[in-house]
Amino acid sequence: MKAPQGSLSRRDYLKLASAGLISGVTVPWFESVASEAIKRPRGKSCILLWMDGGASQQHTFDPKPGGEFKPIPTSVPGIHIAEKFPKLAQCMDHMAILRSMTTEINDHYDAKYFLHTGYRRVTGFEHPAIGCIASSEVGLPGHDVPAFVTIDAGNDKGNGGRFYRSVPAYLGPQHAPLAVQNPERGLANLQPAEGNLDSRLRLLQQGEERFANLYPVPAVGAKQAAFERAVKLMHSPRARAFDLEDEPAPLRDRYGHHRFGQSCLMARRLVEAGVSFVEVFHRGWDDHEGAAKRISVRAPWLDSAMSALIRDLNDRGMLDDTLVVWMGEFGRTPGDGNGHFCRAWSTVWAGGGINTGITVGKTSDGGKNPGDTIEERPITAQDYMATLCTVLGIDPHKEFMAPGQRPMPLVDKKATLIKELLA
Amino acid sequence: MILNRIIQNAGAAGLLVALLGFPPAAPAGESRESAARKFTDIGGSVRLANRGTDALEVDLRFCDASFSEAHLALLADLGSVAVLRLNRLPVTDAGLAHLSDLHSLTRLHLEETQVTDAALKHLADLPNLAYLNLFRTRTGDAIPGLIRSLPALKQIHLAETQIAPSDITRIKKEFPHLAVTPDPDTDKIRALTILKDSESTRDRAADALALAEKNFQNLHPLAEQLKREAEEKKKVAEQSKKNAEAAKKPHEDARRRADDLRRQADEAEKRAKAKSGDDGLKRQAEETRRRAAEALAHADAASEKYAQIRSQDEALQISYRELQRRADLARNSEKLASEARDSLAAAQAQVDDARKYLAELPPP
Repeated sequence: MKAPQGSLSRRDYLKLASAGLISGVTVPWFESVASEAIKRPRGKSCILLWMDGGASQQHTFDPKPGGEFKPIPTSVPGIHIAEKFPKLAQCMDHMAILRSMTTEINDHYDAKYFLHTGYRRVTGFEHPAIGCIASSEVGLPGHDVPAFVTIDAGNDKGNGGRFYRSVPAYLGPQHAPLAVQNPERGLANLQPAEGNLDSRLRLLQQGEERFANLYPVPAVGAKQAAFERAVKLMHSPRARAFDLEDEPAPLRDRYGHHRFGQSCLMARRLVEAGVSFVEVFHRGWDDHEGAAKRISVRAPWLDSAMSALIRDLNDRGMLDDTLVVWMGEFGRTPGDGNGHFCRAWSTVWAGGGINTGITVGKTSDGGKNPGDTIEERPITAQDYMATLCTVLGIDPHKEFMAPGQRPMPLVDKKATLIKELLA
Repeated sequence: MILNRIIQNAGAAGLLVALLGFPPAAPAGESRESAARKFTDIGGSVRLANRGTDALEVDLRFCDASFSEAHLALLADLGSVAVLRLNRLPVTDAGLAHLSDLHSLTRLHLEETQVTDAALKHLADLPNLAYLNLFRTRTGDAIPGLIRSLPALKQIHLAETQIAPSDITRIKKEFPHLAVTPDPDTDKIRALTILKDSESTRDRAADALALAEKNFQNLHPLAEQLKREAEEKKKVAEQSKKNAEAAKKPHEDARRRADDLRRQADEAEKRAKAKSGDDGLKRQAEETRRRAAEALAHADAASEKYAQIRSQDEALQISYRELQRRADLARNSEKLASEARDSLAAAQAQVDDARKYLAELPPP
């Protein structure tokens, strides 16, 4: 930074500049214009495909010889996945399979919390979910579409424990997700029903403001944030991102006419519209009566939807900027997949500019119970979260001041990055 | 809305600076500032492309309706623009003329804009352009020429453009390190990889079937006979095991006796040493030592005999197990052969699928 000649000392100059007095006139321009926003490089977007209830690794991405589903070859020599996923096999060069997740918790809700936040659930303190973290750290500030959207892709079967909802916690209510209940219907409630909506909204707003001034508590602020966001979105031309009718029929076919497929398509549209984090959750993977039968039914639409998503992102040149993550809260017991199993399970990452066409980690092939132990490179929930943040352009070491003057790193300090994935 | 506040301050500060008699602003800084402000005012974003550089990423995808391609003229004022995103904006060939001097541009997004072949000449002089996205634009014939004029180009996206597939093949041959999407060759390489892998699985399955069938032919007729033989051998093996166990005790007893005597001899020698000159004790010790040596020789002989019996028994057990295995194989050979046939059929189906997929790929 150059000080104006012969007029001010550097120190005085800096003082004035920081007071906003000189800014915008003589200083190099990015010191002044929205310096915070400008200095924050753009991160990557993420589409999280959440298999609620916990999907069986041996019936998907870590098949074993002699298992219920046979291994099939993929587009990467030497990597095999379960026979039910021939279209994903064609995408293997865009994917990385993490086969050695080991995550301590076998209980649905606590595991969902752990894998969404990177922290164990404790009483009296809430940790922000990864989607909210992305919204806060790489979301477009002040954008008219929320930075974090969740899409409900339906329920294949009851069960799977209490449903986890992403909470922004100390990051603030503006980072809570916008929830889409049904991708086929989009944001049906967002269309104004009457012409003079704006004037009515203004009236409401005035009342709300008076209330907020009288009672300045966080809950009121949260409601206010949600309200402002909804109105902004209602007026935005980008709300069309929630409308799948715009997409050509052949592409909609390719994603598959299941709610999950259409959710994936909406996720792509939302990322195009500037959303940083989309979580598509599909409930019903808690297969206690044998995984083979149920996954045989689900496999075709998972196969179509996820492969169509990867190919569509790639065709549009968006894949390098968009990380697709497939996971649940844990895996299933080796063999029939009946029970919960957090000791050795798989997740899949695609795109995002990471190293793909690889597997990371390895589970046992032999022994009494093939696949029940990790043979190479265990990946903890903390390692996983730190790597996810890093790929998305978020600094995992950043500390926040949580309530009670408690400095809180975004990710637990004992995490080590999964170097194999980082290009 | 820190931005707005800062910008408002800027106006007031300008006046103040003039009054205080500061030297006038550097024109470059001011025009950068004002260009950035104009972009952010219409909903665009201007930020650093990467930590630690001053190259910018200008993202105009989310501009509001007041965006017009005349705004692109402001890009030149921003200085080093590395990344420019114009996806879906109403940008035409005329607008692209404003990009022709952005020499620092490394990444350019033009997907779903209204540009055509005629606009590509404006991009021909961008020495650092590494990434170009033309997805769903009406470009085609001019693309190969453009690629030849871009020395830094590493990645180009051409899905849903009007480029001829034969042009893509030609470009790939000419620039082997350029990543082109969509790439019919990549799809073909993938499909071939899968085909090759399926074929090797199929070949292994065929070998396994050949073996299973050989076993079936050779062993199945002998199944009854092998079973009988195995049963007889089993009796012999069991008897031999009993013999071996019976031989174990005498060998152990002899060894124990030898150990006892050796200890007695040691003690006797110790006593004799303590009372040196007592010839009775000395003789007794020598006698005990002699008996201990005899017992040791005996024990060694017993051990040797036992080892012999055991090794005979082990050989017998192995041959019994082998016979038993053959008998089992003979009995199951039909089932195993039929399983191997199923595996081969499944592997062949995979090969057929892979071939079919390959055949259905659009021709290059």
